[in-house]
Amino acid sequence: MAEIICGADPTQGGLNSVHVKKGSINKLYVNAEISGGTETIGNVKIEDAATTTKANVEVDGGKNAIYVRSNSLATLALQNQHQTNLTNISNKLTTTNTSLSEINVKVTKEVVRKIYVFQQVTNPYVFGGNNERLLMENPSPSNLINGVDFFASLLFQIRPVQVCMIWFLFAPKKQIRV
Amino acid sequence: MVFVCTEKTNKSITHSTRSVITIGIKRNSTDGTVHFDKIKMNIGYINSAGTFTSVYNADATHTFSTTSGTYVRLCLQDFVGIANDYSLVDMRFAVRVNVFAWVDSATTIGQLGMYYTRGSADSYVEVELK
Repeated sequence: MAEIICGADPTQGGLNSVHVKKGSINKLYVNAEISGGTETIGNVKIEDAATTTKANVEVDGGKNAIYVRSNSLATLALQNQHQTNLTNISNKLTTTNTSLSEINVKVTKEVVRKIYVFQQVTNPYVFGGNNERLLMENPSPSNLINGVDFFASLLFQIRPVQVCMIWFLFAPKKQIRV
Repeated sequence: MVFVCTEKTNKSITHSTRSVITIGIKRNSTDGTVHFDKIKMNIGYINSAGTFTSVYNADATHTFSTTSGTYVRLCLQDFVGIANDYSLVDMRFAVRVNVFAWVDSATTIGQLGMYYTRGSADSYVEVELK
């Protein structure tokens, strides 16, 4: 009668318990639990006892052994690989964020040139009061009724005793209201 | 005259502005001469109460005289430097235009006009925002 010995790689999680049950002619059923408790157990291999990762049973008459290991992410090697990948992703995100910040700075500091046309309307634009004289990005159509295209000042004249400079207020020459 | 911008922006006025102003000047009387001196551009803003504040200004000086009884058009260009950017947060960009003219005789009468014709851009201002 053969003796079956179970072992586990200590770097990949301790082995809490292993139950081996004989199946059909060349099958064994293995029920194993690793110390992580909630970690997923992956493939189960039945391998030759010649390698160093197996339980050495040579001293016990060269009998076979069962080696159970988990291929889940719980294993140390995979955890390390996973951490490496996360680090790589994090580094790339940092680089991306830096680029986005630079783009954002360029966009917000971009100088924009605007042209505003002097326009007069009869329906006022309301901001801080009614404003009929406006700066608009585009000129109004030439047949726009709601607008006055030319304003003339009041007549200006000096009296005999006054000297030179006069500056004056503008007043509408004509207003069209709809 | 104060012109107020209809565009709302939180940007700042920077660098300089360039204004192109078209005016007309004529003599209404039968004698004397009408003189034009300059245009003063005040670059600023109006606040939510409607008060205009001039931040920077510059003159476009051009000596001109006429005895014409019909409007003589003058088109002037006026650059106003913006030494320090000013913000338009909660403000509206605005421009005040003053035109300076005079007559040299007690019996002379003159008249000025400013053109902002619909469908054209006789008068406009270029600004840089950032």
